Amino acid sequence: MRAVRRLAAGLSAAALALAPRSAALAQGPVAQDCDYRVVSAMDTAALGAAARGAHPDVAYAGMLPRIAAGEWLVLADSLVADVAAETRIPAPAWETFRRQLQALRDELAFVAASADPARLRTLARGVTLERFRITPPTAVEPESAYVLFVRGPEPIALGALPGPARRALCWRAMAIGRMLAAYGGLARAEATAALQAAARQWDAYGETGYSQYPWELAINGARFDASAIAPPRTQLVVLHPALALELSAPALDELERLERTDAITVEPIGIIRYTASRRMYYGLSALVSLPGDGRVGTGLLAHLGTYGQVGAVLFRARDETGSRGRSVVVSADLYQFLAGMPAAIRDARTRALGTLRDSLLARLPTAPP
Amino acid sequence: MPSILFVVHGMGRHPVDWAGQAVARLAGAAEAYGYSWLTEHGGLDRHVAVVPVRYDDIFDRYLGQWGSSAEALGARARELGVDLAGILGWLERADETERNVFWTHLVDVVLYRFFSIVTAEVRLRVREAIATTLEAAGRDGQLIGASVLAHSLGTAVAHDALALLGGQPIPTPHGPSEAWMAGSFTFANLFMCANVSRVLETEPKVYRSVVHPPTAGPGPSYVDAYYDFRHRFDPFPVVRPFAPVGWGARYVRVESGEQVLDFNVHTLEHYLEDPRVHVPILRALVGRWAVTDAEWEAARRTYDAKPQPPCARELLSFKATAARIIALAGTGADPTALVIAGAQFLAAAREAADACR
Repeated sequence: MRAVRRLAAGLSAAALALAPRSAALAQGPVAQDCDYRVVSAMDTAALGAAARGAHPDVAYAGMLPRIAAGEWLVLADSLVADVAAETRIPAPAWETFRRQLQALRDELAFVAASADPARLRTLARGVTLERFRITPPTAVEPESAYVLFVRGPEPIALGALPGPARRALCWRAMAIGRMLAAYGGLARAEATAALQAAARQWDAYGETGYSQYPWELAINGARFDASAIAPPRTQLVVLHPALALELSAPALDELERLERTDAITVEPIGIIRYTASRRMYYGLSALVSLPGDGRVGTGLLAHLGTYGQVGAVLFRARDETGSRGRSVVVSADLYQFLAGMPAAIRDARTRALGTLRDSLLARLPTAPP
Repeated sequence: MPSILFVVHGMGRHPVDWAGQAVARLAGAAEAYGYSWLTEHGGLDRHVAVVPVRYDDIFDRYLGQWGSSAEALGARARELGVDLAGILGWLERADETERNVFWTHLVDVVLYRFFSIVTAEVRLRVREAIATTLEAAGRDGQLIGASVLAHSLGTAVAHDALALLGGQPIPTPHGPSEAWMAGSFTFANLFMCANVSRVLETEPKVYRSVVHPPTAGPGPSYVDAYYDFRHRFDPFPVVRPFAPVGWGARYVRVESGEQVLDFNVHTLEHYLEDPRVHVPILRALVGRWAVTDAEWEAARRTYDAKPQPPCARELLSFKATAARIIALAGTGADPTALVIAGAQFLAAAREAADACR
């Protein structure tokens, strides 16, 4: 209880009454008492000792040991006791302030009595952190139109109060506001870290994810909630054209006769799934391969994240030698990874992909508008 | 007390220091119009930290993958549930200037409004940028005065990002966090220039989200004051206009003057030049004392007397064109109407400026 009394003394009504007004006369008297931009700029050293103790920043500094010890309920009790002893505030405003403070005390008590108070605090649940916010006038309202508890059932029009009462309320509200800002600090840090983690997922999704053509982005977007924090975990592949290489040999024991043919591949349909970090993905697509000789083949294509795609052409019309022409299809990226593609080919591939994309899109069937 | 102003850009590409010009217009107003308290007290920079928020690189990434062609954008989108038919049909008939304006600016609107994955990333990036700044500034129990200034497409982005930040718990390893929700945090001011948040709304809806002032009615509110600025010759905010009813004294709507200092009256710089716009912003950010009533009145007179582009014929013609586009835009109520009106207007402004040279 001694701690409670000491804190209450720091915010005493007598101290508030003794505090001199700011010399910054451009601001009206209500702003000088109730606008934290003005109050925080005050030279507290120029205040009398008692008034200095009531200044919100000084009062808040007095709370710091209790804050560091996590003694929120002790702080709330001290504030309740302090306000109970206050005699300068007119009855309706005093009663409103007291009820709001009691509500805060009840919320803190509820959290303290819960099974896991630390968790509730980390999630900013159970306590209304903005309860003691002072709302300044808009740019077109009268200069005195500061309001306390504007979101509550009983807003207090601070401009209508006598100076000492107004300052008593405002300085207390600011000190409590800082206390609650400190209370919510952990939760803000935790929630912000979650947003930052999501931003890293989007980084990975953008940098290493499987590219999407506009229609794919539309399809995948249609089943995705735009309010989501993290990027999609699964991705449909639809009519996705690319440039690849077909590798074929007459037989497994004749790999020295391995032939390489450039091919356009189209994935009519497929699905890929990302890892939690979105840095890697795996998936499977149906495959249509259109090699240079015009013998269309179909098969399956596996997605191996940033390494590329590898697939097999399983079905193809027999050629004149009677061969089914089964082959392995490797994406240009994977081929480059496996074989070390010379820079000139890489550049040619980039150019070809640009041209290919447009010409292929022009050939694909379109639905009537 | 740290006062922080987040500036959220509109359509088009923005260099890293893009906010500099807009903020310079805001900060320079004190000198230009003679706001004595501000000039004597170090100017705006001493009272407000400006934090630009960028998201245009997200659009760049997708457009870079696809190439800028109508075929690439729309080849399948229209048959797969994305309603781009109106926009693509118009684009085929548009003249070259309108087409250029579409690909440099309006395509951002299409990407943001019609592609949910792009929408989600933009919203997340903006939320993350805002939360990261505020978290750092608010350590040690510091009280923060946070405001957001948004322009054009940025008004929709800012609304959506704040609506989600203030209305939706953030999933964390410990559970859903309410740390940035209404009740736990409040933005002091939201300044919307050329507000298109309603015509581009998806979820949460602009009239039902937490992004409203406390005087708008019961329920959690995420901003102390909502300022809505629009220019007489700007068609963007005319399409399905943002016009809430009963939002009370803390919703401030400002119709800026009819001055056309530059043909493109849609730019943020043009908005901020007008004392009807920048004085409420300065007062809200710094305090009402930043600009006296007499100074504000004098500034309005000075601004209204500023010379317009020195080619009367082009100016008259441009105003007539803008009025025609606005009349048409007023009959539209969907993003397609916004894109078409916007492209036509920006093309008209560009052509008028070229003719005036």
